[in-house]
This record gives sequence, C-alpha cells and structure tokens, in this order.
Amino acid sequence: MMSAGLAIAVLGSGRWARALAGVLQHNEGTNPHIGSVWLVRPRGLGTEQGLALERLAQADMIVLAVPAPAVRAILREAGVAMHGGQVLLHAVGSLELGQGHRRRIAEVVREETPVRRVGALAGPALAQDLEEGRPAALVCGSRFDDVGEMAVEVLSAPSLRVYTTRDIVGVELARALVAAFAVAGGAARALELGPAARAILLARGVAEMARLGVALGGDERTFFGLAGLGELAVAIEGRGSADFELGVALGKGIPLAEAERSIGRTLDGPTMIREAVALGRERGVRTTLLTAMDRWLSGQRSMAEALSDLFAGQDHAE
Amino acid sequence: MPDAQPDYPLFRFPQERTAIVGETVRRALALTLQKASPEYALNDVCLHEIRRLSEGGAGPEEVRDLQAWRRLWRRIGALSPQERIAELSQLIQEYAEDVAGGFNPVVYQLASRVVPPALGVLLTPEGLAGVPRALTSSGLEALLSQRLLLQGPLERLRALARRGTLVCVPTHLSNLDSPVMGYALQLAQLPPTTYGAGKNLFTNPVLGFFMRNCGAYRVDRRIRHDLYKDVLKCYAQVLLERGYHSMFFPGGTRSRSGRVEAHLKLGLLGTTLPATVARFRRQRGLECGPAVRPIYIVPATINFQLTLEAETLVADYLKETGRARFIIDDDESAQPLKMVRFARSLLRLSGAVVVRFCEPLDVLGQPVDDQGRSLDPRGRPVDLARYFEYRGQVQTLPQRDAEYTRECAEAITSSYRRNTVLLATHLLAHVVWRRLCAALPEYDLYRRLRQPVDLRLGVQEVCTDLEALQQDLLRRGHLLGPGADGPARGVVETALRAFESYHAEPAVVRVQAEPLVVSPGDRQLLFYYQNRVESLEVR
Repeated sequence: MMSAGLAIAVLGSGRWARALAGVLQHNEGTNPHIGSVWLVRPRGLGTEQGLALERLAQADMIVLAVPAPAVRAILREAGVAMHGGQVLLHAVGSLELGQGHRRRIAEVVREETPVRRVGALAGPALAQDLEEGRPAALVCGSRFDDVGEMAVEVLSAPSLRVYTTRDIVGVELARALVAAFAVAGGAARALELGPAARAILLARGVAEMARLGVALGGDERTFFGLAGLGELAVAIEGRGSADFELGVALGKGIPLAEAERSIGRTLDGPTMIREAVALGRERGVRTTLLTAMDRWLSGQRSMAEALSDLFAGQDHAE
Repeated sequence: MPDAQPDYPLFRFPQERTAIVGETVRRALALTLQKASPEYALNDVCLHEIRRLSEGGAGPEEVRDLQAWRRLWRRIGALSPQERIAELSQLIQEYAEDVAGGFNPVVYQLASRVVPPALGVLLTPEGLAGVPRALTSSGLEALLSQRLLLQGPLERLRALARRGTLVCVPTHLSNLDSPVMGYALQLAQLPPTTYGAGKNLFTNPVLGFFMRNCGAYRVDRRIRHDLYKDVLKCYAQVLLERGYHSMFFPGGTRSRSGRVEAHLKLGLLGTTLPATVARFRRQRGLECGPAVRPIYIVPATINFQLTLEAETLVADYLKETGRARFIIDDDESAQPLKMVRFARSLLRLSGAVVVRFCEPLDVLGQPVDDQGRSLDPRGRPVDLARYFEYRGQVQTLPQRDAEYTRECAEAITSSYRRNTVLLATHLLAHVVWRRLCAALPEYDLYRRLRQPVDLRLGVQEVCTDLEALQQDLLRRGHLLGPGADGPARGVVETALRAFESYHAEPAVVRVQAEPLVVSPGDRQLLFYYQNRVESLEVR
C-alpha cells in the first residue's frame, strides 16, 4: 500500500476538513506520494463501525480537522481502528480546555490512540484560500522528522507551501493563542481604531504569545514564524475567523452570550483568553493584552476602560 | 535460596564471548566509517585521548598510554587508506576487548553462596554470637526479608524473562546499587544480568574479580570520544540481540543530590531500538541472523534508608552544582571500614532497603501485558512492529528512533516517580528542612545551609507536619515504605535511630530525649535526604 502512495483519511466534516481534503484530492492525480484520499465524517464513528472505521484502519496518514472540544470523544471512538504505523496530522486550532484542565491536541492523541507520530499544522492558510488556490502556507510541527517530510510530500501544491519544525508545542500553542487575539482584532475593527492599533496588536500580541509559549515549552522562533505571526496577521484581517467576528460583534456593544449565539460556529477565543491569563498567572508571565481582554469579556471593565488600562500600564519594556 | 538455573543466557557467555566481541568490532567499524573518514575518526580519538591523558585523566588499565597515542597521531598522515582502516579496526578491537565482560559459572555460584552468609553476619545484631542462628536457612531468610524488601510484579517479570529479554533500569544512588540489584534479582528468582559498571570499580581486587566473572562489562566514563561510545553501544546491542538480560543505570551516574532521576542518558537505552528493529526485520525475512527475542524494559527503584556515600555526594553536588564530578573514586565506598560500619548500620534497620520493580514497558515506554504484548494508552494490545514501519517496511530511522528513546526515557522517569518508596529518614528530613526554610525565608539554598539558627522542634509540631506530609504523599499516590507509613512518632524514632547509627553528625539531631526535641543537624545531609521527597514535587 505504501509503495503505491499513502492512503490518507481526513477525519472531519467542517469546511476546514473539506478544504484540506480538497488539496489532497487535487494532488492525488499528480503526486506519486498519494495513493488515495478519503473524507471520513466523525459523526457516528462508534456506532456505524462500518466503512468509516475501515477507512481509518487502512490509512497510512490521518488528517484530523475537527473542533477542539470534540477531539477526545472522536479519537476515543476512532482509536480502536488506529495503529502505531500511522501518522496523524492535526489541524485543530485550539487546546482541549476544561475546568483546570488543559491539553494540547497532540497530547490528547497520545492519550486516546496508539499513534505516536503526530504532527500539528498551523499557518496563514484559510479554507477559502485553499479552495480557491490562493497563496497559502502551513508549518508542520512534529518531533518526528519523517512526519514533517510526509506532510511536505502530500500537502505541497503550486499555491501551498509547507514548512517543517520540530517544535510541535510551539505550533500548537501559537495557533491556539491566535484565537484569543483574533477577538481583539475584531473589536479593533469595529471600533475603527486604525492601522496603528492593528500593528500594535500584531507586534505586542506575538510578543505576548511568545512569552507564554516559551514558558510552556515552545520555541520563541515558532511564535514569530508562520504559526504565530503568520496566523495572527491573517486573523486580525478578519477573513474567515469566527473569533474575529465575535470581536466585531463585541466591539459594537453586543453582549457576549448574544454575540456567540448569533455567530453559531465554534468559538475558541473567549475560553482561550481566560485560560491564557490563568496560565500567565501560574507561570509568572506578563500578559498585558490578554488580561485587558479578559477583564473586558468578564465584565470587570468596560471596553473603554480596558483600552485605557492598556495605554496607562507602567511596564514600558518591550 | 534457589541455585542459578543453567539455562540463563548469561551462562552461555564464556562460549559466545569471542563471537560477541567480533560482532561488536564489525558493527562499530561499519558505524564509524558511515559517520566519518578513517582519518577523521583516528584523529578524533587521538586528540581526545592525548588531551585527557595529558591532563592527568589516566585511569586504571588504559588501552594505550599517552606515548602510544602520540605516536599514532603523528603516523596518521603517512598511513595509506587501507592502513588507516586496519588501525581503526585494531583500535576498536582493543576497546571491545576492554569493555567485554566475563562470566564464570563457578565464581557466580560462589558469589551466590557467599553473599547471603556475609550479609547474615553483618545483619546479626548480637555480632558473631548470633551467627549460628542467623545462618540457619530459616533464620537467614527471615532476617534478609526484613532488611531487603522486594516489591513489584515479580511473577509477571519471571514470566516475561522466559518470553523475552529483560533490560533492568534502576535508579542510582550508591555504589552498592549493583550488588544490591544483583542480589535482589537473585532473591526475586529473576535471571542474572550483564551490566555496565564503571571501570574504576574494577580496581578493587576482590570486587573486581567478582564483577569480571559475574557478567559485568567495563565502562570507562573518562573516555568521551564517539568511537568508544559506539563500541559500547554496539556491544550492548549485540548482547540484547543474543538475548542477554541486561541492566544499566540510565541516570548515568549516582544521583548527587539525592533526588529521583528526572533526566536520563539515552545512549544505552537507545540500543534497545535497533535490537527491536532487527527482531522484526528478521521475522519478516528482511535481514539474516538468529531470531531476536522481545525486549522488555523493567524500571526499578532502589530505596535506601541511609546512603553510604551521602556526605560525599551532596558535598560534590553543592560544591559544583552543574559541574559535579562525573566519577568520584575517593568516596565512602572506597573505605572498607566505613563500608562495614555503614552495612552494619543499614542492615540492622528493618526495611533498610526496598527494591521495587516497576511495571514492565516495551522499548517505546508502553506498558506490556502478561503475554508481553504492548498496550496503547487505553489498554488495547497493539502491534509493536508497526511503529517501526516506514514506507511499508520495518526499518531503522535514526531520528525517529532517537525520539522513541526519549519518550521511553520519559516513561521510565514517570515510573520512577510513581514507584519511589519513601522511608522514614526521607520524611523526617523533609519536615525539618521545611521548618528550616520557614525559619530562614529570604535565604537562598547556600545561606540556608550555613546560617546559624537556633531551631528546636518539639515532637508535637514535628509529628503534626509529618502526618500532613504522609497524607499529602498518599493522596498523590506515592508510596511509603515500612517504618514510614505508621504513626508519626514511630516514624520520627525510626529516622532518628537510622541517622544516629551511621552519620557522625546526623541530619536531624535529638536535642532532648523526653519530651523529644529535635533540631537540624548536618544541613547538607538534611538537604540530601529531604530531596528524595522534594523531587516528587510534593508541596
């Protein structure tokens, strides 16, 4: 099976999963590294026990693209069909977050499945860009070099460039933290704060992400690369990000609960902001922007007060 | 005491030694030539050795002396390519012969029979007068079982030893660890292992004789060049492939601080991966060679109430944190009288040493079941061979395998933390140390060790702290050994007696007998013993 090209199962049913499957299917005809590509819907995996699990069992590579809160349950069901020879690339944009419980998705994969060779995808590549063949780039973080090599082989396309790094921790954290700053980007847009505000958000946001990420075991460079700076630049442009839309709604004065309801998609930003602030407190990391956002979202400060706090802060060391 | 079984793999060693050394040389040469040109490899070895020996780093029984290295270094440029390879091959042969151990069944049987009575004499509280009673088989057995406790899934390990090759990886605190583990394996009716021991330990004529003939191979930690490390790794790998049960201390050296190892050396541990790849490749007919048995990693914790070399080790740790001497050859283990005193002190304590064998793991650090099958995190059996497939075939990938080894090391250190057995001395030291820290809150470690302070602790407050510590440890799933799991007052007494029986200045001093008042004694020792608890991240 391997010598004839990899069998790849994309596990997910959202637009992001379909876009990734689309890239792979587009490559399938011309790329000798790809044998077959299947889109496997996660719903009912455990009950149907049919073709979906069979596909997963046959796959050499599994691309996981599902919402973070659903990852564990899906993998618990899918895990029965998986084995140690497989590579799993996940394109999940957040962490598994619960009450005082935080896990990177790669850790969840390790806890729920026999798969050891895991990679995380991140970078400035939106589903829409992939669908329309516009320039995009991804970085694959994996401790295993062969995982990065395989990601490059199967995903690279004329308009999609794939990079590799061993810093999977940094890639996962950077991608997850971007969701938090996307909310701020949306609010800045709604308030028409201008390009300088966006630039400040970008520069200081990446610095804050990097401080937090390094404290959690990531490599600083990753946060200034595609997974951090790259994703954040796209996120605060607002295209395709539900968290950005949430920020816009909040910036217009719509209450959080109502804004979340109206968007109707998975939102990682608010939880991520809360968790990032808690993490910063635990690790003694300065999280100026995130703390201001947290106070605003939790109702402790108004938006104007939160903004004012940011500019009045006493810490001027960049 | 069961006699050694003749079908233990180690008993084949005398017949296989030449072939093992030959195979080691062949592989090490191939590996060296894969990495560098013969000229580079020879230069590298010469430069390392000339520098080491010039700086006074000569150890016992050097393979070549300084002049010989200098002569070789000067000749390298004039050698033809074939001569360089021949020189390299000769050098590897010398190293392999130097490393390779020996095994003499007669000496092994002798050691097996001598150790228990010798321990019996040391164990007998009444001195020689009690020897006859101690040496009766039931008396000896009872006495030993009180002093050296074995814990863990012994029956499973015995079954796995019949099914595959065990690689025992214990924690390392003392030079006594090798004999203690050797004896623990024997008591547990597990097969004797070959093991790597520091070359400096072989200088003792008696100890060296037994080690040379009981399966130990020599590791010269002074030699740092790649060629020597490759010879060692190839030797260990050949032994594994031939089914020799092995033991090594993955921490690399004795824990200087008393902490449970959190970081392991990956070199020897990494040899289990290529041996496993060879197993599956041979099973699938991808390479020739005899069948390789499955390899099971068996972490173990060795828990001493007292540590023979505690004073020297912690002094070394504090003197040069981060630059601790890798080899200490002038510590308490080199002083026979001190050793006898220590042994008598230690072995008079009930539950003085607890050897706890942990759940066995596969080479990736995954648990294995009774049939030796690897289990995934959800407890489902998995096919280990598939982890080594790359593009449809089982093969070695150095980077992947290095990562697997790192993950296995993490599983081992995690197992160490879960299976460390805390004893009374550790608990009392931790409680008193916390009180000392509270009394000197703004001080760093070094000032806390030196600052005079009049800290007298009444039995009530010590017992209150100790009970809280016991509860905290048990709540976190940690293990308390005999003498550490009972009423706090008893734990305090056990610990005080232990400290007083061996250390000239105990870690905790009894200031007043009744009502009991204690105070910190030798603070370096206090720090050392409490580190065992602190390294388990107890708040």
